[in-house]
Amino acid sequence: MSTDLASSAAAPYRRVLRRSQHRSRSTAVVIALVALIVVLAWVGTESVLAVFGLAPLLVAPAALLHFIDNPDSIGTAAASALALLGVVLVAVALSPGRRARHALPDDRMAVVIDDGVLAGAMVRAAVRESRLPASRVTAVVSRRQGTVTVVPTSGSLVNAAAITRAVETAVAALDPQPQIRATVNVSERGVVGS
Amino acid sequence: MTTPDSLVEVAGRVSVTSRALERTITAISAARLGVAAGEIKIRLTDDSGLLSVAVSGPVRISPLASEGNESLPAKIRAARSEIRDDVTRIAGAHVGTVGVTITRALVLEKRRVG
Repeated sequence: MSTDLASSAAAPYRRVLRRSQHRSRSTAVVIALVALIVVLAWVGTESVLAVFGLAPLLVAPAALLHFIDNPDSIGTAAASALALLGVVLVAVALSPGRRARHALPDDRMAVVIDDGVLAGAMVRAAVRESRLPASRVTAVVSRRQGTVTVVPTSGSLVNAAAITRAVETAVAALDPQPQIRATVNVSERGVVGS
Repeated sequence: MTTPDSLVEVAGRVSVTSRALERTITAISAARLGVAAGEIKIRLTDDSGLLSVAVSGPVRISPLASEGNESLPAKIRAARSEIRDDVTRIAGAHVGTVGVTITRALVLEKRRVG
């Protein structure tokens, strides 16, 4: 199935799937650029006002330069905040920006499923097999790993192998990409009554 | 399906509330200790996946004069294992530990000779 996705016929889908599974940076880019434009426009305005010897809007360029050369504690704090913002922006730019979603193979459509939905499917399979109340079964799905946690009823034995098989069957039926490995944890402590 | 034999598994599930379980185990314990159910207090907890039963109540002992008297510890030991077996048989729950606290001893004949 993954070979289908990789084939040239599915190239547009691959693009769509990639776009749906990764976060767009455009918001961060727009905010950063607008802020930059505002600052530069202000500096330009102040420069022109200074050239004609008019009163500055906020600070005259000479005073600003003097302030930058001899920062007080507020100036240092502001510089640190700007540096931190820069680090955050670099991190946003370089991180993969993945969304918690998986692609489902389909010949005719690009299908993307939220990891929460995938976790729900795993919980459902585990509930059907274990016959426990749904509130006792939880699942967490990450990129390559799906973990189901089962809290048994005290005194009733839980067939972890059968639940694992049921969950694996459910995952295999969906075949999410990238593939996830399903594991089932049976909680050490049970709950009295069901 | 994973069902053994020719049992046809019906979809759905059975849930037994802890209250029902408590009442059932109270009745079992009362019968095994030979006292009224109202005298018995039960606390159910989890013992790493097994059911842990704590029973507290009086025990009935036969009149001191009568022959064939078991020692009280032996009697209670027997009652504990009987309670465990009954809970597994009747309530279908695997029992980890059974703790019995005897609060009183009722030395009464079951039936007075007229």
